This record gives sequence, structure tokens and C-alpha cells, in this order.
Amino acid sequence: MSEPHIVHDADRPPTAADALAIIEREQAHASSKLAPNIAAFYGIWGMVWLASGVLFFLTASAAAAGWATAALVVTGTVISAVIGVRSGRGITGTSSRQGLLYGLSWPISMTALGMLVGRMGALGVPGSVMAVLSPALFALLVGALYLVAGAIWTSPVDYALGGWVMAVAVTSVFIGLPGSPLVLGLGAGGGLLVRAGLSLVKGRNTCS
Amino acid sequence: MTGPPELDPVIHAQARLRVTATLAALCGGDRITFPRLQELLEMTAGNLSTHLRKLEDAGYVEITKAHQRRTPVTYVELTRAGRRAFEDYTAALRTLLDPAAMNGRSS
Repeated sequence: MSEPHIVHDADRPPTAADALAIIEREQAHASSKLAPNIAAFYGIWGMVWLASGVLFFLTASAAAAGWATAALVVTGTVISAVIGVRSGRGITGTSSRQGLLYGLSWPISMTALGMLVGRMGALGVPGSVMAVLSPALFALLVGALYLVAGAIWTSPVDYALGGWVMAVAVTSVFIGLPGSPLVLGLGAGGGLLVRAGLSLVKGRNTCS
Repeated sequence: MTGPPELDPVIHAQARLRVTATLAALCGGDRITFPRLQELLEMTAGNLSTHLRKLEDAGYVEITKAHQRRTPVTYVELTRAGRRAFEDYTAALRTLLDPAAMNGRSS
């Protein structure tokens, strides 16, 4: 009686208390399966920023740190795509389309910025300038996309995160080398990891 | 609404309550495929169909059949009336469980 799930007479009306318990359990179960695990998104990308920033700060070879960062970004992208696709399986409609388009705006804008930054180097922007500006530009774009997420899902925490990451990006440019990668790693990475922790405590309402 | 609330008999049965609660967890305007819903609820296809038909007859659920790359797909969603009925049902449960609130309402 106390565990309505195992009662086999599915047409038997439950008591009011049982009915409320069923509603809570079913909705928690459905939300955990249907909503993407946002703590994982923030956690993964927080680690990528942190690791990359520390690597660039500590390693003498910028090329090695660059390749390591590229490998981390590819891994993060694959995991994020899998998480997003799995949770959206079998769902269609307004909010899932919104989530899909927002999700795609990440690879689209990051690829565009990557091409732009690559062209900056080809146009003759010195390596020492590129080393400061290019990661800051990525952080700026990341911050802007979190601002958008905060606006779409009316999430003040994401809005604040976006503002924070943008502020870190600007600060890193003022600090310059050799400290700027560390500022970005600790600031942006740390901010994302804090956000991951917050979403573990209290999940986001996924309906806008 | 006056007096003790009545519980909607269409929703007030274990299996249909589970189906309705799960569908209500979707965002408004979203639809779910029959197999994914079945997977979430761990119900047999026949059982789920039966309960969905009852909910559909009451106008609480809309079932649409579409084709995705030639494969037929069945989508299920709560109608506006269904979402409303579920909200009323939940509110009625809370009133039943909290007599103070019920007294406050009927006086």
C-alpha cells in the first residue's frame, strides 16, 4: 500500500496521499530522463577551461598546450552532443526545437570565431598579441552565449555566469602574458564548475 | 468550486495518473513518441494504448501519427484541457490532504 508502484491493479483509485506521491515520483523520474544533465555540461567545460588555462600558463611550448586544448575541446564537444541527443530522444515540439537550436549555436559560433582567429594570425597579428586576444575572444563569446541561456530559460544564475565569464575575458586582456591564461582558466573554469555545483543542488526548470 | 473537491475519475486511476503526470512533465507544446513514453513508464504497449485511448476519449491527450523518413511515428501530448485537468486534479488532492485549506475555502 505504501509503495503504489508495485500494486498491480492499475485501475484501482489510489488514496489522495498515494496519488500525490505517484505524481511527484513520476515527474521527478521523467524530468531526470528528459532534461539534459546540465551539471555535466558545466562540469565538463569548466574542466576544459581550467586544464587549458593551467597548461598554457605552465607549459613552455604553446603548441603542445594548443594541441592538448584542441583534444579537450573535441572530447567535450562529443560528450556534450551525446548528452544533448540522448535526452532529446523521442521528444519534439517548441521547447525541444529551442534547445536544439541553442545547442547548435555553440558549435556554429565557436567554429566561426575559430576561423576568424585563424585569419587574424594569417593577416599578421603578432603571436604575442594572439596569445592574449584569441582565448579572451573565445571566453567573451562563451559569456555571451550564457547570457542568452539566462535570458531564454529565465535563469539569473546563468545570466550572472555569462557576465562573470565576460568580465574574466576582459580582465585577462588587461593582465596580459604570462598571467592571462591562468586568469581565464581559474576565472572561467572556476565559474563553470561553481555553476555545475549549483545545478547539482537545484536543477534548472527546463521549460522556458 | 465549493465543498470538498471531486477527483477527476479519468485521471484518478494509478496507470492513467502515471501517464498524465509524465506527460505533464513535458514542456507545453512538446510531444513525445509512443516508444519513449512506454520506456519512461515501463508499461507494455497494449496497456499504455488502452489508457491513452481513455485519456484521448476524455480530450486530455492528443495522439498524432506522422512519418519520419517513411517510418510511421506516433506522438503523444497532453492537450490544453488535459494539462488543466491535471492541475485541477493536483489542486484537489492537496485540498483533500489539507483540511485547513478546504475549510478556508468553503467558509
